[in-house]
Amino acid sequence: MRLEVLEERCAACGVCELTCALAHFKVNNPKKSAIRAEMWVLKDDVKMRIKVCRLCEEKPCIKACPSGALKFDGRRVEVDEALCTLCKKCAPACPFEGIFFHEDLRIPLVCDLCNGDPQCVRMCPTEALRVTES
Amino acid sequence: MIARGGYMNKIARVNLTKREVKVQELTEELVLNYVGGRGWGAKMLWDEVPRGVEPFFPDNKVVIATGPLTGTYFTGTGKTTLCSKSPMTGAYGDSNVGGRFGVELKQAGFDALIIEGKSDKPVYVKVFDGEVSIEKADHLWGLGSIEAEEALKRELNDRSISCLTIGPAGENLVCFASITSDFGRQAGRTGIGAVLGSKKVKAVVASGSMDIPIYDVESMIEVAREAYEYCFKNEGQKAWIRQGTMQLILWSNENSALPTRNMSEAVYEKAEMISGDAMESRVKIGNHGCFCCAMPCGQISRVKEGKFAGTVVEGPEYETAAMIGSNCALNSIEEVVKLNRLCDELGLDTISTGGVVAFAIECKRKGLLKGIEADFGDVDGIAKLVEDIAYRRGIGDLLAHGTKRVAEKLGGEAVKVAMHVKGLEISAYESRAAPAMALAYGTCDIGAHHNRAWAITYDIKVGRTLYTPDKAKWVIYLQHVRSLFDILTCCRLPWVELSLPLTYYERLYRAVTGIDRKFDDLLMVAERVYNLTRCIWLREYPHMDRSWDYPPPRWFEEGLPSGPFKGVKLDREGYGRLLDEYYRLRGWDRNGRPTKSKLRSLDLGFVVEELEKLGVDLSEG
Repeated sequence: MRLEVLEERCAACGVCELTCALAHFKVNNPKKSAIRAEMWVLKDDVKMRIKVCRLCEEKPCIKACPSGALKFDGRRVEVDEALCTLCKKCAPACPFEGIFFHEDLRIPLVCDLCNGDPQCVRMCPTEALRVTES
Repeated sequence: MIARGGYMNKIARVNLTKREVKVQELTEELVLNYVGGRGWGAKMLWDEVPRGVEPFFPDNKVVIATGPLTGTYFTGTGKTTLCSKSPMTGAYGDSNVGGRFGVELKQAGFDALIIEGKSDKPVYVKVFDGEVSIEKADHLWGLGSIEAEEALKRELNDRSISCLTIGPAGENLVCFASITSDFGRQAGRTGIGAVLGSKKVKAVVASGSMDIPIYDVESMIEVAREAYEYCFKNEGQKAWIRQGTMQLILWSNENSALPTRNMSEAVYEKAEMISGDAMESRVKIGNHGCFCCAMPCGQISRVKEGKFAGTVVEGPEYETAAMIGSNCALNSIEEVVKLNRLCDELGLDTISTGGVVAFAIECKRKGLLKGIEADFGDVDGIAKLVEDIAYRRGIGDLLAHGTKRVAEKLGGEAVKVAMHVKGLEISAYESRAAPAMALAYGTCDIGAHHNRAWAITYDIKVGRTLYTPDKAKWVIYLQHVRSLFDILTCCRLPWVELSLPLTYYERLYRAVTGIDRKFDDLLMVAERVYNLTRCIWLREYPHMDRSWDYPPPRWFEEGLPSGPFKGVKLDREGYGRLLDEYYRLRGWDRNGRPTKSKLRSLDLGFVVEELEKLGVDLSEG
C-alpha cells in the first residue's frame, strides 16, 4: 500500500502535519512530520502541494544514501538510525520533496504509513489523502 | 509560570525608534485574568497607550497576540489577534486573522509581539526561531500586500514562513487599511494596517520549529479526535467546504438583510449573480484552510473568462461579496473577485471599502459630494475610486478617512446615510428588521462589526420587529462567548456553524494548559475584557454617552423600500428600551458607563482609579 495524494482537493490546512508529529513523537510540532502541505501562489493560479513519500518505483533516496541507512522493507522506506550520518543527501534526491529534517531529531523523517493505518488520511478534512494498494 | 502548557512564555517588545528588541516573560495576571489574544491586546493598550496618543503617533502600539490554543491540535487553531488604537475610531480596535501566522510565531518562541515607536525608513520585523530582528524593507515599500509576501518568501527562500503584510493603503495611512496573511487571509477591520504603515512596518515575518508545550498530550489528542469526528459527520461541514461564508448571500437576501446600495435596501435583485452558487459554479478552483481546520471554508476563486480572466483571489467571503458586491450593486461574481483581489493587494478592508464607496456614490447621487465619477454597478469606476483611495488621489484623499469623518464634513443628509457606528462602517447585515443585530452593532466594542455578536439569527428565530429584553440578554451572551474565541485565539465557526459543543473548549483548555477552569470562569474573562475595552473608549472620550450606541439615523427614519419587511424600520423608543436592558444586565449606568462595583468585581479596580484620576464620572452601582 502507499499514500495517494489528490492535491487539487488539498486546502493546505496542515492537519496532516500535526497529526503525523503527534502520532510519531507525541509533540505538538508540525515541523516534526513526514508530510507537509504548502500553498503556491502563481500569477494567475493557486496550487496546493503535498510533500510526502509516495513510495515511488525508483526510490532515488535509497540510491542517494551513501551509508546504506535507507532500505525498502517491502512496505515502506525504513531508516536505520545507527547507520544514518545525517548527511541529508536523501532529501534533495526525492522527486516529491517528501523527506524532512528537524534539528531535535537525528533521523530523516520519511512516511512510514503508520503501520498500515496512516493517521493523516483519517484526519484530512477534504479527503485529499487516500490509501491505495496499487 | 502557572500554565503548564499552551504558552511559549515570551513576549517580544520591538521598539522601532530605538531599533531594539526586549523579551519579557508572561505574568500570572496575563495568563489567568486575560488569557491571550484580545485579552492581552486590551490590557496592554490600557497599560501602555494612554489618552491623547493619536493612532498614528509613534507612542501608539500594535499588539500581535496568539492565545493558549493557537497552534494546538484542534479545529481552527490558526488564529492571531491584532490590537491597536484604531485610526477609524480613535479608541480600542482589534481584528483577527486566520491562516498560519500565529502558529509560526509560537513555534518561533513567542506568544505575542508588541510593536512600538516608529522607524524612519521602511522595515520588516523578522521572527525566526527565537531571534527577533528589524530588517530593511525599502525594496518592498510600494508593493501590493500579496506581492510583498511573495517577495519575502522568495528572498528568504522558504515557502513555509508566514507573513503579515500591508499594501499601499497602509503605507499611505488610509484609515481602513488591512493586513494580509498567507495570500488571502486578512485582519481587515479597524485600520491596523495603517498603524503599521505609520510606523513604516511593511511586514512581520515568522518562522519557527519549536515544540508548543502541552500539559497533557494524550487528552488533547482525545478531545481533538472527538471534535474532528463530530465535524466530519456533520452535514454542514461539506457545505462549508463547498461554499464557505458565501452560503449566506442568498440567506441574507431572503431575510432582508443583504446590504444593497449603501444599505438603502436590504434585498438585492441580482443576489443570485454574486451568490455562493455563482461562486461555486463559475469561479471556484479550490479551498484554503486555516491551520488544522476540520471545515476549511476558505475558497480560492479564479475568473475564467471575460475582461477579468485570470484574476485569482482567496475568497470571496460573504462580507466582501455583500459590501463591495450588493452594497455597490456589482453585477457578477467575476466583478466581485476582481474588486476583492484589488482590495487585498492594495491592503484595504473590503467591508469598510464597500461602505465608504457606496456612501460616496449615494452622496454624489444626492448632490452632496463632488469629484466622484463612479456609480453603483460600475465596476471600472469603482475600481478606479478604490485605487484613488489607496493612493490618496483626488477625492480618494478625503474618503481615506472613512465614512464618519466625510459625513461630518458634509453634514446634514450625509450624516443620515453614513452607515457606521462610532466611526467603523457597519458590516454586512442590514438590521432595520433585526433589533438584536442593531443592538449588537450599537454596542460592539470596535464599532459596527458583527464579530462580537451575530444576533440576527436570534431576530429571525424569535421575531423581526420585537424589542423584548431577552434580545439584550442574548447579545451580551454572544459578546462574551464569541469574544472568548478571540481571547483563546481560535476560530468560532465550528461552534457557530456546526454547533460543536462549548464543553470541548473547556476540556481542550485544561488539556493544553493544565489549568482547571470551568467554561463560565473563562466567560468571566471575556466579560472582564469587554468592560476593559469599554473603559478604553471612556478614557479616550469621557463625554461618551448612550447616543454613541445607536445605529445611524437611516435605520430609524427610512422604512425598508422592498421585500417581506417593506416599510419596517427600527423603533427609536424600542431600541432605547433594549439599550436600557442591556446596560442594566451589564451593570452599566444609563449612559453605558460601567459602575465601580461592576469593575471591581471583575478585578478592574485599577481602571476605576485611573478613570477617576482623569475626571471620568463613574457611579457606585
